[in-house]
Amino acid sequence: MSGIYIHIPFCKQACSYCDFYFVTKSVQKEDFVSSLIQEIAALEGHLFTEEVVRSVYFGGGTPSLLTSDQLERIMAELERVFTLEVDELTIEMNPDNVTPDYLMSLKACGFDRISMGVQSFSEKSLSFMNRAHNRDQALKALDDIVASSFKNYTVDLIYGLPNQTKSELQEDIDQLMEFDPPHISAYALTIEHNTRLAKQVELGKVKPADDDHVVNQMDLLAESLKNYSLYRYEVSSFAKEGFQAKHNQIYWNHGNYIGLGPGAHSFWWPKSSEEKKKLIGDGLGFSKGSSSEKEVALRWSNPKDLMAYIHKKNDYQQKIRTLIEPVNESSLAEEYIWLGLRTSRGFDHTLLLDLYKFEFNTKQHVRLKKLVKEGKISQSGDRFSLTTEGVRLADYIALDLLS
Amino acid sequence: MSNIRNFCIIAHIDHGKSTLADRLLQITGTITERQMQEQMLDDMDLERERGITIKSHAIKLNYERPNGEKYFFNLIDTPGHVDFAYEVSRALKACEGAILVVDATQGIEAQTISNLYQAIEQGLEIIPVLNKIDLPSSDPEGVGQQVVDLIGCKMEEILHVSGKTGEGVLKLLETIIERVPAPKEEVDKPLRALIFDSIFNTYRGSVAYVRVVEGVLKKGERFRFMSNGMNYNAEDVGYLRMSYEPTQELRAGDVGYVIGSVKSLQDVRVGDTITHVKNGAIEPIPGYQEAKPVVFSGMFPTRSEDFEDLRSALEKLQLNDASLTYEPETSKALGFGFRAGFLGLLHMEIVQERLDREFNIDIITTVPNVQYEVELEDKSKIRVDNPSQMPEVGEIITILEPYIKASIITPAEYIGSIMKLCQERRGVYVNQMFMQNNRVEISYELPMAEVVFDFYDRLKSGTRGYASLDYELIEYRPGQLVRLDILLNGDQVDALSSISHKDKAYYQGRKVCTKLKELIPRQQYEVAIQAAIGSRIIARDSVRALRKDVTAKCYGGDITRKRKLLEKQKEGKKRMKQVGAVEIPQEAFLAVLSMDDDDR
Repeated sequence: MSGIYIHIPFCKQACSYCDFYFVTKSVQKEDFVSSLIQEIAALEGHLFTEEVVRSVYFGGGTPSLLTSDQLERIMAELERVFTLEVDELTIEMNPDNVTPDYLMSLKACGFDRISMGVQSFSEKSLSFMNRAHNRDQALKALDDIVASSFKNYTVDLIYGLPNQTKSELQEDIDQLMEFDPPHISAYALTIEHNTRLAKQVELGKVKPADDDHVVNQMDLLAESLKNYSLYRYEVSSFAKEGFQAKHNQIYWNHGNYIGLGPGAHSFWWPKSSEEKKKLIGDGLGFSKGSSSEKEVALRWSNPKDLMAYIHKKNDYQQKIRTLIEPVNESSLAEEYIWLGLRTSRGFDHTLLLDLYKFEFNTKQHVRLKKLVKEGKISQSGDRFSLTTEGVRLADYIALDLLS
Repeated sequence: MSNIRNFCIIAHIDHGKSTLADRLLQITGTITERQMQEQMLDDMDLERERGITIKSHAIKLNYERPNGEKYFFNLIDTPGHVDFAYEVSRALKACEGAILVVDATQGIEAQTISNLYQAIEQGLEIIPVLNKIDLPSSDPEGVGQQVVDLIGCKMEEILHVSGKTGEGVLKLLETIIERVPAPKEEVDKPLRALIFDSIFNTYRGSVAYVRVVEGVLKKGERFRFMSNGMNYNAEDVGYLRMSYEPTQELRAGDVGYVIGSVKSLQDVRVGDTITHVKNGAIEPIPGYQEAKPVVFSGMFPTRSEDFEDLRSALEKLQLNDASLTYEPETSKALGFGFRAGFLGLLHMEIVQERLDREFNIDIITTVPNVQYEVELEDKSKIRVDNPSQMPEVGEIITILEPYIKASIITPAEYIGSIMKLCQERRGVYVNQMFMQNNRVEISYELPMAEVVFDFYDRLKSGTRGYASLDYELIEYRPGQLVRLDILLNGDQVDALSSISHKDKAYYQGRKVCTKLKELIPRQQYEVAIQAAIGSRIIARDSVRALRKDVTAKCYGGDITRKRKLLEKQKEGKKRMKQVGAVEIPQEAFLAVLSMDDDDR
C-alpha cells in the first residue's frame, strides 16, 4: 500500500509565508508535464510500482494551474505504470482557478477530493499574506464546490497572523462554517526561512504574534469547530467523522510514498530483505558496510530545480542520489512517536516494540508517567496520545520524551 | 671565565625586544641568514604570543671582538607580564647585567619600571638602550631624559639602536663586555645552581635551565633539588644554543641545561637550587618561593563527557607550567569540573586559550575571583577561593580581601578617565608623579577582586591603549563584602554565586536577573529568577511558562526537517544544565559569566 505525491511547481504569485518550491513563470507548464510523464514512465517495473497505490495527491505550487487535459495525461501515465486502487485522489486548488466547468472536468479525471487554499476571508489578512485571491473569489469558489458533485473537500485556514484579533479569526471561522466543510486544515502562521515573511520579520517590518495570543486562537478554533462536528485528529487537521485525509495518514503512519516532480519528497520502507536488496541493487540509498544493517528505510527528495527537471534529466537524476537519506531503526521509532503524538491515534507501546524494536529507557518511562500525571498525555491501555493541553506543546513534549 | 657575560633584556611588550634579540643572534652568527628568515617567520606567527610568553628562555651567543678576543654571552629572556613577576626575578638573578630597552617613540611603561627596579635591587649593571631610533617619530631626547630621571645615568651613557636596521647593535655588544661584570669564578665552592626556568620534553622529561652560581656540575653526577630533597643523575648537561649542546660539565658562571630523567615538572621548580648529593651546599640560593596562585576560576566542560579529557589536558598543561594549580570541583549547576588557580589574569587567559586551541575542549569558566580570608564567629580563620563556599552571613565576623598597589603610567590627558575607573573599582588614591613627555605615573591601592575582572581591558580602552599597568599584592584588608546568590525557582545556582561589595550587589543582582530572563528559554512552568544576599531577596524576575511549542505543518518533506531539528535539540538538551527542575542553556551561563562591567 503506498501513496503518490505529485508536485506542481507553478504559482501565479508568491505568498509571503510559503517555503514550498514553486516558480511564477508559467510558460514551461507543458514541458513540465512531459517531463513528469517521463519521470513516471521511468519507474515502470520498479519496486516502487509493486505496491498498490491507495492515494494520489496533487500538491504545489498550484496544481489547479494545469488544464484538466494535462492532469488527465498525468493520471493516465500513473494508471499505466502503477497499480492504482485509490481511495482518495486529491488536488489542491486556489480560489481564483475555480469554475464549475473546471470542477466538472476534475471529477471526470477521477479526482474525488479538493483541497482549497482559502487561508482567510479577510481582505486585510489576504493581502498581508500576498495571496492571489480576494474575499469574493474565496466565497464564490466555495459556493461552486458546494454546488458541485465533490462531497469531500478540505479548506485551508491560516491564523495567528500579526495583529489578527480573536474576533477576526472568529469571523473567518463563522464565514467558513456557512459552507459546512467536512474537513479543514488550520495552520498557525509559521515564519519559515527564506520567505518574504521571514525577511519582513528580520527587517522589523513585521512583528510575529505573541505565543500566548496564538494559543488563545488555537483554543478558540478547536472549540468553535467542535460545534460543527469537526474534530481535531492532528495538530492542524479537523474533520467530520469519516473525512480524515487518507493521504496525510500515509505520511504520519510510515506508509510508503513516492514523490514526483521537482521538490517532491519520498519515503520507502522495504518490508523484506529482498526489497532492500533490490533498492541497493538500484544503487539507491543505504550505506555500504555494517552500518547499513541498522538502516531500514530511505527518505529522499527531488531537487528543487525545474530547469534541470526539464532540460538536464541526467544531472537531475544524479542530484537525487545526493539527496537520499537512510533512516535507521531508532530514528524511525522516534519518528513514529512524535508523529503519533501529533495525531489523535497517539503511539502504541506494543507496536513500538513489535514493529520498531524500540523500548523507552527508565528515564523516559519516568517522564512519560509524569506527562500522563500532568495531564499532557492521556493513556488508554497501551496507547498514549496528547491531550488538548498537550497538543500546544507537542514539540516540547516529544523532545522531553525522546531526549 | 672573564670572557663570559650573562645578561637579560628588560623591555615592555612591543618595545622591540624580540627584534633586538634576533639581531643579536644574527650579528653574533648564532643563527645563519637562512635560519634567520625562518626564525623571523616563526616570530610573525608567534608575535601575538610573544607578548604573553610565560616562559623565559636562554641562549648562548659567541662573539668575536674586532681585536680578535672571543666572548660568550648568555642572553636570558624574561617574561614580560606582571603575572610572572616571580619568574622575572629568578631570571634576573641568573645575570650580572640587564639591557633596559625603551622604545624611543613611546617612553617608559609601568611594567618596565617594576622590572628595572628589581634588576637594580639585585645589583645588576643596567645598560640603557633607546630602540627604534630609525623611526621618524622617535624622540631620543625626551625619552632619554625619562631614562636619566629614572636610573640616574648620564645622557651619553644611553645607547641608541635600531633592532630593525641593526644600527648601534655592535656598539651594544662592546658595551656589554665593557660594563657587565664577568661572573665570579667560584668553582671551588660546593655546587649551587639556580633554576631560572624549566620545560617539559616528551622524550627527555623535565629540563632545568640553570645558572651555575658556585661549583661545577659534571655529567653523570648525582644532584639534588634543595627545596624537596629529590635526587637525580645528571644524565645530560650542556649549553643552550639554538638546540641543546651537550658538554661534560657546567661551571660557575655558566648558563645551561640539566636533564635528569625527572618525570614531573612539579619537581623542577623555578627558583630552586641544584646541588650535589655528596658534599652538597648547605644553604640554597636565597629567595625561593613557591608560586602562589592569586586568581581562581572554575572550569567545567560544556559536555559532561569531556571531564576526563579536561583532566588530562590540565595535566599536560601543568607539565609545562608548574604554576598552574587545579583541583576537582563539583558544581550542582555545571557538573564535574576543576577549580584552577592562576598567577594572574593573563595566566588564566593563556590556560583557557590553550585548552581551547591545543586540546579543543569547550569549557565554561566561572567569573574569576581572588582568595578571601574569612574570620568566623568561632574565631577561626579560613581561606575561601570559591564564592559558593563562602560561609553563611551569620557565621562571619569579617571578610578580608587582598589589595594591590597599582602603578599606572599614562599620557596626562587620560588622568581623568583612569581616576574615574579606579574610583569605580573602590580604589584608594595614593599619589601621582609627572614624568617627562607629559606622562604621569598614578598610584592606587585597589581591591584585587576589582582588578581581576576586565580592569585591564577597561584601562586600555579608556586610554586608547596608552596606559600601562603594574601591580603588586600588598595586604589583606577587611571589606564590606557579601555573597550574592542567584536562585532559580528557589534553588541556588552555585556557579553563579559571586562575592560582591555591599554597595554594588543590588545593581549586579538586578543585571544578572535581567540577563537570565533574556536567555533562559520558556519552560513548562514559570521560572522565578532571584538574586539574594543570604536569605534576603534583592532582585527578582521571571520567565513565563511556555504556552505553545508545536509545528503547524508536518507532511512528506517536513518529516526529515523535523527529525533533524529534533536531533539538534536533543544534542542541545544534553548540553543544558539542570538546576532543580529548570533547564539552563550553556549560553545563559556564558553570557552571565562574561558580562562586562557595564552589564554587571
